[in-house]
Amino acid sequence: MQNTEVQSAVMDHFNIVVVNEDAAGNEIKKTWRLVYDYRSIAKIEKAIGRDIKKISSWKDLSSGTDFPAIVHGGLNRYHPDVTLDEVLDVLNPAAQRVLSDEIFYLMFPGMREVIEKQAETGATALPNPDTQTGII
Amino acid sequence: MDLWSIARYDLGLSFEEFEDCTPAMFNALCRRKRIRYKYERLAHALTASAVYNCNRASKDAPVIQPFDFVREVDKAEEERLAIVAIIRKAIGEAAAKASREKLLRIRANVITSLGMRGRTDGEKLFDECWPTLKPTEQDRIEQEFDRHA
Repeated sequence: MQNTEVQSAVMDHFNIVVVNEDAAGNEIKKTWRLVYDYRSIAKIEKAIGRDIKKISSWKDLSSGTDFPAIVHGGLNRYHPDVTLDEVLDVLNPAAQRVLSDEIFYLMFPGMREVIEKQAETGATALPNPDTQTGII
Repeated sequence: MDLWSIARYDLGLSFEEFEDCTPAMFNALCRRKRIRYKYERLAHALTASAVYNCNRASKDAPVIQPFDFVREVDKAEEERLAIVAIIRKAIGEAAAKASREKLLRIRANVITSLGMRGRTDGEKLFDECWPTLKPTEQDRIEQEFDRHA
């Protein structure tokens, strides 16, 4: 049991709060926890047909087809019952940028610090940051 | 496939454990693996230095520290050493009886080439490797003369 607690503390994730309304106009809030483990990454890669472990693949992701599949893949661990159509229903262009950034930073650990450092000083924190996730 | 082989061979993860890892977790494990590798390298270095120190040729031979085996070169230093090697090779490949003028021409070409790669310290590095090829006032006058000729 203790093992499960440790795992939940270690596991990097983020939550999306989805606000909907029912037919009577009552607000329905639900929270989705997104996790990008290698199982979900494999599922996404199969769905969109590209290697999202490489930074170069993120340059020309289609916001209409690829991005919803990426979000849907992140729901694989804690919300496997959510369908792609449900994801498409809640995604909107305003949220997409923020969401995309968060997913990107989960996929490439350490990249947030590099980008923030670059924005501050115009230089990279690491001269050659890893361009592939998890290289030893 | 590369990630899986690292997970399986280097980190000893099962396929399920690997699938449960996120990139951040995987990176953390790789970092930990690197730390262990450094410990192991130091342990071997202790043995190697002890063997060497017990078998020195003479009392004057230097004593080696374990850290001499495990010292790491940072990226900038690594690049500097690579450039120094290029400089040494450029002059080393010149004919044994090459004239000073020819060697100075090689020097200028290497410095220009380094400059094109964004290294502004080519001249300084060259002078560190071959201080005798540092152009003298006489060399400069001759170069100026050749340019105008």
